[in-house]
Order: sequence, then C-alpha cells, then structure tokens
Amino acid sequence: MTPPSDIIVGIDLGTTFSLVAWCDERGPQVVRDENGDGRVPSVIGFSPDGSLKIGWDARNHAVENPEHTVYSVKRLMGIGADVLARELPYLSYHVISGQRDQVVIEVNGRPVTPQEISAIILRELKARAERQLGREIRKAVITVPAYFDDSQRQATRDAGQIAGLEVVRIINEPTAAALAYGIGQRAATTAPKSTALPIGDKSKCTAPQPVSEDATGAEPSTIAVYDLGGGTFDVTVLRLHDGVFEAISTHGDTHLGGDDFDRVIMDLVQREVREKTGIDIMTPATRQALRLLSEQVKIRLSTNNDARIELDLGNSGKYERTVTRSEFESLIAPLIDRTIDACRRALADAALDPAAIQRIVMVGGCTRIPLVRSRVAEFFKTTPYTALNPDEVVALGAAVQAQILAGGRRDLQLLDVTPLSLGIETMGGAMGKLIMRNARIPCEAREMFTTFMDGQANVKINVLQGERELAADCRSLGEFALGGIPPMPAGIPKIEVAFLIDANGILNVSAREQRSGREASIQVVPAHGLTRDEVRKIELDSVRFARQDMDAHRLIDLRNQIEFDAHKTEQVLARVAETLPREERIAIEESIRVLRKLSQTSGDPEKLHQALEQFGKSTLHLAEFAITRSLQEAQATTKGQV
Amino acid sequence: MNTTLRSFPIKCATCESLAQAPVACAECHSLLEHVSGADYFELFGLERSFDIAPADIQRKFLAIARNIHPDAFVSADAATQSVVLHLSSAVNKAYETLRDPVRRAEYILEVSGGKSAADDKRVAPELLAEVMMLREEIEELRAGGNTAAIAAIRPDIARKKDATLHKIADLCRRITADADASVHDDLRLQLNSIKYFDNLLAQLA
Repeated sequence: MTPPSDIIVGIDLGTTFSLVAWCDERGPQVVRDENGDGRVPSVIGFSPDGSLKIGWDARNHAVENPEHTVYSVKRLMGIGADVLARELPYLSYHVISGQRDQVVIEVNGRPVTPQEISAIILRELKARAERQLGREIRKAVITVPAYFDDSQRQATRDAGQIAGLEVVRIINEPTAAALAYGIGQRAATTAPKSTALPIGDKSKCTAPQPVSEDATGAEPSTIAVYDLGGGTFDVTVLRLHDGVFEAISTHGDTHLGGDDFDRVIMDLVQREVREKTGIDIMTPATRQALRLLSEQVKIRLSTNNDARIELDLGNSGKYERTVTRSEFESLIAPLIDRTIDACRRALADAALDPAAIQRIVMVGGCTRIPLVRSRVAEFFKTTPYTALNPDEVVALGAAVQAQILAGGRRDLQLLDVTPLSLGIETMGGAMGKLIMRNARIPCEAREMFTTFMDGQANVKINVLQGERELAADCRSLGEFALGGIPPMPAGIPKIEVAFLIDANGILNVSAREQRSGREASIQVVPAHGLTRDEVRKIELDSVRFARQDMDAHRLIDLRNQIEFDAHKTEQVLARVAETLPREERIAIEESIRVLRKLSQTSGDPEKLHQALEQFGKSTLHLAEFAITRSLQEAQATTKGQV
Repeated sequence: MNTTLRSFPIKCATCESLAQAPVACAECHSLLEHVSGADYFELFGLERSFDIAPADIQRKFLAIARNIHPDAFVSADAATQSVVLHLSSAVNKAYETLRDPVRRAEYILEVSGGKSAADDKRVAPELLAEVMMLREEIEELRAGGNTAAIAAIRPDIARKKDATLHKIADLCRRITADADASVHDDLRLQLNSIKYFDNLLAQLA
C-alpha cells in the first residue's frame, strides 16, 4: 500500500474552474470549500502591494482590478504569437510575446509566464487538499484536453513542477471522464439498489441505468465522451471492456469552449454599442464587466428563453437589450458545428458509424446548453448521457487514475492515444510523419539521420506535430540538435533517433550514432515553451516569490494590527481624558498620528513591526494607568453593591 | 549464454505466450530485444495467418498491455521504467500492425521476404488510368457544385477497395515458404493500390 504521505491527488486544471480530488475507500471525492463547492475559479488577482487573490475572491474583484486579474490562462499555455493574436481582443490583462515566441503576462511590471500563473492555481489546490486531508501532498495526476499538443502538455507539467508537485501522469480529460463514468456504472450494477452512485449529480439522474448496459462488464461497450469545457473541446471514442478503458480515436479544438460562447455575446454588444454611440468600449474594466455579464447571459439562456443585458457606459449613457435564446443559438451554431465536425472526424478515424456509439457522455459546463445537447443527440441519434456532474467528473476521473498509479486499483487500466501525428521536417520543407495520430501510447518510431558535410559534428532536426503536408503548416515542437557526432566523412555517420511518446503523451527523444555506438547528445530548444533550465530557475525563484508573497501577507497583517492598536489606544485615551496629564495625552496623540502615517506610506514590514513595538512601549504607561483606573472603578462599584 | 533473469511482474494470467518468452535479462534486456525483434504473431501467441479474429488479437493485446503498461511501474527504478516504456511501445506497435488488415498484410509480406512499398512502387497501369479519370470527374463535379453526384461516387470506390482487400487476403493465404515469387509481387501490387483508393476516399470526405 501507498504510505499515507504519498497520496496522489487528481487535478482538473481548467480554463474557468479547477478542482482537486482524491480517492478513499468510498471512492473518488472532490475537495470542497466551506460552501460545498469543489470549483476554484482559475482566476488570480494581483494587488499592487504584491498580495494575491485566488479563486472566487479574485473573480469577484475582477472588475475593480481588470488589468491585474488573470483568467483563462489555460488558453495561453504552450502557444505561440499566432494563436495569441486571436486571444488578445478578449483579455483585459497585458500579454506580450516574450523570448522564443513564448507568451508572457505582465503583472505589476514583472513578466510572468502562463506556467507560473497555472502554478499559483495548482499551489492553491495543493493547499486545499492538504487542509482537507491533513497531510502533505507532493504528487498529482493533472488532466489536459485530449487535443493538447506536446508544447501544451509540457507547459502543464512544468506548471506542476513550479508548484512543487511531482506530476506523476498527465491524462486526457475525456479519458478521465470515461474512467469516472465507467466506475460509476460498475458500482451501479454491482452495488445494492439502495446504494447511491458514488459519483455524479444524482439529482439529475432521472432513471437508474439499466444493468444490460454495464460499461465495464464482460460485454464491451463503445462510448464517446463529448467534452465542451471553458476553453477547449474534445471528443474521444473509447471501448470499455472488463475494466480496460481503451481510447480508439480523439479529435478536438484547444481554442473552442465556453469562453468563445461568451465572446459571441461580447462581440454583439461591442458592435451595437459602437453603432449606437460611436465609442469603442475597450477599457479593461468595461471589457472585464462585459465578459462576466456575457457569461451570465449564456448561463441564463440555458434555462430561460431570454436574458437582459444592462451596461453602464458612463458619460455615454446606458446600453440595454434583451437577448433571446434563439438569437443566442443562431450566434453559437457555427461553434457547435465545429464540435460536430470533430465528432465526425473522430468517428471516421475509429472507422465507426454514429449508430455504433452506445452512449455519449457529456462533460464540461457548456454541455448544459440545450442546443449543444440537441445537436449532439441529432448527430449520434441517441439522447446524450447527462447524469454526471459535468464540472466535477474530470477531477474525479483524475483521482481514480491517481489511485491506479498508486497501485490501489489493479482492476482498472487506461489505454490512451496520441491526438496528433508526429513527424520531422524533411528536405524541401515537407512533413515526414513518423507516428500517426490515434496511435496507442506509449509509441516509438526510429529514423536514421546522417551528415551532409565532412566532419560535421551536429545535426539539427525540426520536430513537428500536425496533420498537414507542409512543415510550415504544422506545429514545430522545437529544434533538436544532435551533438557529439564523431568526425567522419559526409554521409557516413548513421545516427538513429528514437522518438518516443510516453504515457503522458509527451515526446522523449534519444539518439545513438550507430557506427561508433555513442549516445548522441540532444539539446532541445522548445518552440513555444520553457527549457529545462528555465523551469528549474522558475521553480527556485518561486520559493523567493513565495517569500515576497509572505512579506505582502505580513504587511497586511501588520497594517491591520496598527489600526487596531491605534483605535484601541484612542478609545482608552478618551476614557481617561480627564485624569491623564495633558502633556502625556498630546504625546500619545502625536505618536498615533505618526504610526498611522508610517503604516500608509511604508511598505517595509520590518519598519512597521519596529514602529508597532515602539508604540506598544510608549503607550505602556497609558495602559497601566487605564488598568489602575478600571480596577479602582471596579472596586468602587463592588463596594457600592455590597 | 549466461543470462540473469530480471523479475518484471509481467507474467500474465491469460496470455501464455509472453510468459514463455525469454524474460528480460538484467544486462542486455533480452525481453526488449525479443519483443522489438519478435514476430508479432509469435508475440501474441497466434498462428502466422491473415485470418485471425479481431477479437482474438484484442483479447491477447489487452492481457499483455495491462501487465506492461507504464502505469504499473510508476514507483519502479528509472532503468525498469525505461525498459517498460520501450516494451509497451513495441507491443502497441505489434497490435496496431496486426489489427488492421492492410498493415497485417504488409507485415506478412515483409516477414516472408517480399519487397517493401519503398522498394517497389508499382501499381497496375489500368488502376492509374482509372484513378486519373475519377480524380478529374470529382474535380469537375466539385466545380459544378454537384454534391449529390460526388456522394454517389463514394460507394463505388469503397466497393473497389473492398474487392482489392479480398484479393490481398487471398494472396496472403497463398504466401508460404515455398510460394512462387509472383505471389509476393502480386501482393505488393495490390497493397500499393490501396493507397490510391484511400486518397480518393479522403478527397471525397
């Protein structure tokens, strides 16, 4: 068994919400806050004083602090400037292109990578799990969209490392959901009827699931997971048999989700305001307010037929409008078309007809949208399965996978696939595929390389991911430089390069010069990510920043203490005003004023601490004087009572 | 050869073949060698035949995959993890080769000494002419926006591909150690033509 300190948690690091879950004898459990909510908004607010707001707190203050509230950072993970350009109009915080096409967020004048932002969320989840479980958490399984490429997966793993977590496994969100669904089915069919389903939102489950459709029983069943989250879309076709969850094909879009549904409303309002007033409501604060408003409208339209928008435009008056459900549906129809198209492709890759899918498991908050449900039903010609809580099922599945990895569930096994073909740039700029999409992982391909010049010691390989024929149309994962090739005439060295995609869906490259038998060295310069050294540096820096965060925290505590002490002293002073010598009263009043002034102007916790101590000493006489007075008064009243 | 056996918990309750295979040697990782160099049929404990039941391959694969998947070795030492990683890659590749009829036929041709697609790119000349005609037809229909007619071509090509698959299966059955070289060449020819059908089908999708 796993020692208690080595518990592995499952983390759903989402675009809008993140959750952490763990497994115990009752099954997978989500860590919840005091309101019973497992969701932590993936939002961070940076205050000018260096303190952080995370989760609901940051989300609730997003409009007041628009330029320093970072949200939807998952959409920026492992991407390049090309994708960033599409995201920028919708972000109220500052994003710039850093070195090597790495996206960087500017916070209080300091550049912060999306990996570091994600690490802050991960650290928060880690702390929550530690509070709940009463032990240190060091290991985690983190989920990613199935269609995440290598750079995006690497970035996620790096975020985990920066947060001080050993990322034991990266798993795909739809696969995690299938796992949670499968064990739920298994429990439902084996447990007595009175026992509740261990996972999912039971209140929405209208009918018990028929035994004949047991997902993990002897009869294999084929399911599709339709996962429309806050920022990403995936569809995965899986076969479930006897505890084995075998992914067959997957397709998706890593920039299509609830955010995009909000954006159609944002676009609508922005356009109409421009037409009406001629102004562009592009200030960070209005953009932020509009974003939150649009999200509310979207959610409202899942249950109501219309929703009202009211936006204060300051001097330009007010913008008011009602959006009907059918209007919203016509706006989002093209987005849903894209998801259906992805379903079609996934089925084609699995060589299956829609009718072959026995169940469509719906995951992600956006699957609450009626049009999404009806379009999915129409395509697969069956009612989608919506009994699971679409917000929690991925985290629960991650916790189950964590338990499998800890050796706690030998009866379950995930077998996953790689979403994108992997290849290398060949002569003439073509994409030479080495591993085809939907290949089972781990998988390995070997390729021979040689030199073009006499004595050449290095060979550069451009590694690509994607389905297009030209290297320029595929995603470059970076340049892999093979070094240490023994000096030989051109064309003589035979360097065998092994491209291995591991169980995380992450590429590992190794090389060997066949004639000398020497292991060739490989230097990887990621196209859109951090180098190993950079990750280590940030990890160390984060310890330093954690100190800064602590300082900021201490500053707030000290300022509160100063105000408390000053206020208290004023109260005492008022009480003893008649009896205290005038000079002493004036001196104390002056020191209160000085202390308050310092508290407002100084950001140095040491200085404030000293001043507070000094103040305590200087008011010692007053305190004693007041106590003596109180005692005298108390005695007087006691006497009076006797 | 004096081999020290390494004790991976890879023994499988359902699949005999892997249990009988040489277990990994601590020095040379002979299991790895065995798996990566193995006859894929042998690896899954199956007769070398084109006519293997998909359910059979799948059952054998799942039994093996479960035992050598990296998930079961998360707390193992780095060397073991590396061996397991290569091992499961090799088993996955074997499975993907055997479960797909075309790749299975390619593999049968390869292990029986036939030419690879890179060595012999020939296809039947009449196929080339036919494919060219079909391509032009599709282009014309597409230019005219005649989607119904384009959709009607699809079943026709699928039927032709099917007929070729039947020929491939038949040739695979005739490949034996003492088979005439013409069987190999013919199989190569048929396998090469599959790609043309696939490209046409992709063009219609």
